[in-house]
Amino acid sequence: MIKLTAIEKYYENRVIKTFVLRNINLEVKEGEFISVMGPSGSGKTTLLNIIGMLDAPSNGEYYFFDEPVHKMNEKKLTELHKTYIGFVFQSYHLIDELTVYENLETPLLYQKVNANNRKGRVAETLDRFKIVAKKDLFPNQLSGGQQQLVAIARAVIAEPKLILADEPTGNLHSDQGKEIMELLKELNKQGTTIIQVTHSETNAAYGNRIIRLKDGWIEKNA
Amino acid sequence: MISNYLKVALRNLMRHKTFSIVNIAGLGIGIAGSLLILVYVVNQLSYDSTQKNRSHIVRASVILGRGGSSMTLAAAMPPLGPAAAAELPEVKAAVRFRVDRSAVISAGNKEFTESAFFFADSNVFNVFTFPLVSGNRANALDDPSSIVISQSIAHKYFGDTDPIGKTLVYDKKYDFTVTGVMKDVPENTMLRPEFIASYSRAVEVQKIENSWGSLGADYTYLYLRRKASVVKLPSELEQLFIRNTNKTMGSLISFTVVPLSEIHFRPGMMGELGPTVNITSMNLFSMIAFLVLIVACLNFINLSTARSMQRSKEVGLRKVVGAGRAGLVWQFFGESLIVTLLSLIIAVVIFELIAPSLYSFFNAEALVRSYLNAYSFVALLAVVVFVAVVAGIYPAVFLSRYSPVDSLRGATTPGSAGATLRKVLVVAQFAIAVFLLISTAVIFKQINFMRNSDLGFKKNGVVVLNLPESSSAVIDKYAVLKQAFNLIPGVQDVSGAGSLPAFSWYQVQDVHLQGEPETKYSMIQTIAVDYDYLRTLHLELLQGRDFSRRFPTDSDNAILLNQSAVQYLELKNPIGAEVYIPSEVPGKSRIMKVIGVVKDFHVTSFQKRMGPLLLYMSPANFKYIALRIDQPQSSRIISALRSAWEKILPGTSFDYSFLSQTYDDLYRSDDKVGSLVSIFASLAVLIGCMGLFGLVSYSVERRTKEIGIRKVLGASISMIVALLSKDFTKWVLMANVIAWPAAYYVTNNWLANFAYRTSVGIWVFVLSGVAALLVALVTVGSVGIKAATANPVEALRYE
Repeated sequence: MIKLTAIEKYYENRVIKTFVLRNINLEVKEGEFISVMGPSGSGKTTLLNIIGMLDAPSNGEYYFFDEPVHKMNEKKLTELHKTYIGFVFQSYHLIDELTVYENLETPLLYQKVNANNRKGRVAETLDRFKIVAKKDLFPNQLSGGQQQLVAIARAVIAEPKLILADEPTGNLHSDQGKEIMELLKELNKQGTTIIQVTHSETNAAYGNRIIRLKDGWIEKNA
Repeated sequence: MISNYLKVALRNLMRHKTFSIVNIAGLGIGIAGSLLILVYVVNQLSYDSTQKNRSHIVRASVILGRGGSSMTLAAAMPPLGPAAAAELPEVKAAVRFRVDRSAVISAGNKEFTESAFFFADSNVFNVFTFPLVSGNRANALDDPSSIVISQSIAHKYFGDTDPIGKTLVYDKKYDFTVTGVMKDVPENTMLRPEFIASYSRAVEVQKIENSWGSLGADYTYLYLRRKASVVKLPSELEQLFIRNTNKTMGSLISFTVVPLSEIHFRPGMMGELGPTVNITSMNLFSMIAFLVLIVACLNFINLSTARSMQRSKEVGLRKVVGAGRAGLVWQFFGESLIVTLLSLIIAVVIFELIAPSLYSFFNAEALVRSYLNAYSFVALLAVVVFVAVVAGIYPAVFLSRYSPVDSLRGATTPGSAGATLRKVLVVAQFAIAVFLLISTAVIFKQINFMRNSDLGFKKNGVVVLNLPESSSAVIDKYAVLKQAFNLIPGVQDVSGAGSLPAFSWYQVQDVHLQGEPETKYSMIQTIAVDYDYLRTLHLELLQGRDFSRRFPTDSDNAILLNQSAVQYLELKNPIGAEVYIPSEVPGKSRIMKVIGVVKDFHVTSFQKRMGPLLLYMSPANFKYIALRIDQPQSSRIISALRSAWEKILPGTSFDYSFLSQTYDDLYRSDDKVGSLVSIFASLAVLIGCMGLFGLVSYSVERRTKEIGIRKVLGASISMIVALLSKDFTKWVLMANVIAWPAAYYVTNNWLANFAYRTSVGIWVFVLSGVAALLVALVTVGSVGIKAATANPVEALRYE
């Protein structure tokens, strides 16, 4: 599904080149649940962003379903990532001005799903995540766990093949965190590929493979 | 999709209420302001646009005299039109108009005094667009006793019956038969006849002498062939005049032609047919309208960008869930359109509220009824699209370029981007505001200067009575009137006058000094006066003596000159100098002796230099009686004057006015310009401050944490307010630097319109600058103090 070859990412100014990622070679198969671990500043989030096509690598090749992502223009990238990839962030990142219902609806709008279909899918998702009662509330009226639940619901509503989760439980207390992790596990069982960044060994254990990063290098891939 | 955008837009507006109100109201006020001016200016520019042949019609006018003491009459002499049509190849036809502003018209038992009774050559309907609703355009005025009337006049005299063939009686003596009815002439026209009678009848009715010497009653329009050049026309008319009169004095008379569409913009012609406006004022107004709109737009862009930077997170998110750039551009663009439309609603409300009073201030009430025409609609639409594009495009393009990674991580501090642009915009706004403030100050300084300067005469306490059209009967009664008036207690001095300061219509005379060659003529304005003219007006005598009853010859051959005339004639010893005054009538040429010199006084507005003036005694030329009265008793005195008048001149109307009022009217238009500029200058400052308020609120919101930390570390309230004000102060000062030279240039240009003018003065600049700065500081301070007094714990809790 994903194949990274010799990916590098650096920022440069006139004097120094600061490397964030170095010589990353990684292959991800469909249906995997991967946890990316490592200390702060080791490049976990950058890796995730590159895989999510939100950021471009400085060097190297990236194939997504055998298509060369590193050669695509912005339009093609947008097209690809909105159909295949869903995102979950540590700080939820819901649109504050929209209700739960409208937040869920937004990805479908950008995919030009027609109105009836949209209604159906939003209703279905609300039901599946048991947040029907919350559908008219705004994000700031929800607890952190509830917000993350909505964020995950938003990530899966477009039925992506891949979910990228950047410390999804980082802002939650343990009970809520556990709930979210169970949910991701469940999604993975249903066939969605998941890559998560995490600090917690417990959470990493939900996955079937752990990639450890250090100073931009892959330290361990098992 | 659109409903999603709409929701976000509206919820954003609701959430940041202050911001939204400031933004929408600011733009609304700006649009309303510029719209108010725009509608007025467009209406003025559309003057006479109903005349289909307007680009081929010019009006020939006579210029009397040369150089400094010349003046232009709106009308020409009777033979000019026909002669031009016959002799000049480029003139296809000529139409002359004569106007009776107080014609007594009757039909049956109805009688009214009419102010728009015109006589015109019979080809008038071929040249001018006065559409007839009944009657035959081609021969309506062929019969000398025929007359064409407007629809409303037809209704006024004949009700609903067909007026064709009916009789109207002019001046109780002359019968006219109605041969046509024309549509009412629109109000934005210089030439607005309600009656058009045949010119050939005017010769009989008004006893027109078809002479090249009878000046100033025949408004002569020349209909030119296509591609005819206007440039050579004046000199050709002059040649024509010389050919037909064999006069060498042709050198004292010249001509000018004004295209029909420009007549409205040529003030200063004597006996003009309708109201004129100064094109400089029109330009000034248009410029102000534009500036106010620009200020409002800048404000809008400024606030929009400032706030949209806060929305970078939303942009990032939308990109993550699949938004393309185009979608985002449209979203922000659409939002700006929504806000613009809301502003427009506010603008229209303001417009509706203000338009009636503003336009009555300009004597353009008719506009109120007609402003919603195609023009203003297009203007409105143009304004909205312009603002929406200008204000929407920057945030749209800028924000959509954000990388979602950066905006979600918060790597781009919201607000830091576009900060330079915002600074520039605030500076530009304040520069415009300061510019307008300085202009206002200078205009009022000039008006003050005109009000408070020594006019050379004392305008207060002088009542002016209009003598009826000079006929020998009235002239005979003048002495009786004067005697009767002198007996009324409270009347101090009485003098007949051919003219008075601020009253138009001066006579111009060619004179030359005794002993100088015959060919050296000079033109001098003359005023016919009586013994007590100087005393009535409190004119100052510098040399010699006033006219006096002790010298019987004074009434025949004595004259007074003003200082300018002494200089103009280059007299070393004016007293006793002899001046030769030629006359066309044989035996009437006279030699006059200078008996005194009067200090120059302002006979016209300050725009014109005080020209050479000659005062002579001639009751036959009196048009007015001026009386100096005891002011507190004026109402009693006026009723006494009225009863004396009615005894001596029964059946004539008693019209009086106060000299001070008539004189003040001279700068009424400057007053208006001044008030208008001041209103819009305050508007610009207000909008500028609203923008500043929005920006400061925004920057305070953004720096809440910083302010909290500073307070925890021990900063005082004043230190924090100073911190917040520092930047803004710098910008307002910078705005002054830009505004000053521009204002200096423009105000000096405006002042150049005046022969007598005030200086611009540095303090005007300093005060305007300080005023703008103070207003800005109060604005910034009010927000700053609120932020600075807030509990720091609250501020830091956000983290």
